[in-house]
Amino acid sequence: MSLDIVAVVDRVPAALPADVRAIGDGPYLLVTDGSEATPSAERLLARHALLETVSQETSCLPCRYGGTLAGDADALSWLAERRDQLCRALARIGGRSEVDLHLRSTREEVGVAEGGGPGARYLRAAAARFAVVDEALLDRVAQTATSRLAGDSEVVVDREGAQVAFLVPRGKATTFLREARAAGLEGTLPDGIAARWSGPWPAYTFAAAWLGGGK
Amino acid sequence: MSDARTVAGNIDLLGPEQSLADVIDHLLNRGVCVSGAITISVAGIDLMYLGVDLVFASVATLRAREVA
Repeated sequence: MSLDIVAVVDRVPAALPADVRAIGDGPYLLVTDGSEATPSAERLLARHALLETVSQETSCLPCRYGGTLAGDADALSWLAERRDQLCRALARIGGRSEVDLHLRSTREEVGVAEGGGPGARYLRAAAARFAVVDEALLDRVAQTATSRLAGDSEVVVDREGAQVAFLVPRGKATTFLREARAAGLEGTLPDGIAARWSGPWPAYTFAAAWLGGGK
Repeated sequence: MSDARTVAGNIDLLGPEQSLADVIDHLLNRGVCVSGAITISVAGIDLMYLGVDLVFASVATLRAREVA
């Protein structure tokens, strides 16, 4: 039976759901026994809720939904091959959470919401974001946001997601988010670009940036 | 994230600030990618069918289309 890969953690959380187990001797791979069940909104939300809980207790590198390994032996090999890299990333996350700044075109809504189902509209919105939010803009926004907000936050620019991610102390994430929303960043954006904050999140974007998101 | 969970089955595509769409974006497009094991790919096309009427694609796919 294959394993569904959930996350890499620096220690095993005290209370894991019955279907989740840890493999390795540190760092650990959290897995569930793979199933053929069709992904659903409920399953995705349950995975996210699990990652949120685990991230409250440990340093956690979320794994992209849908990743599988053939079994425990493969999981141990996967860990062993990346041990140093995983340890560095886990230490770097420490007790911090991700807060994201999403950019999008205010013009993208023209046509985006017309026709098709929600999936088609989602794709059109994502494509429109990618078309108008370039790397130079994201870099400028990241610099501005960093200068106006907590200076010691780690920052990652996610070009494909048209967002800038900040890693902030877990206990201060809500405060950071509140201050970020009040920082007036919108006034620094070019015409036609809007900003939106979200979070706190497990360190999804940092995990992809530091360990390769397969992009 | 409690707001997000209340909108299951009723995805708001362009907001509010923490929606189910945000959660799905993070789960599918971010995080550590276990090489060669993305089971949501269908015949090599990065598509995931969610329920009967929702289709999500990875941003990598969108980028490829943009380049093309």
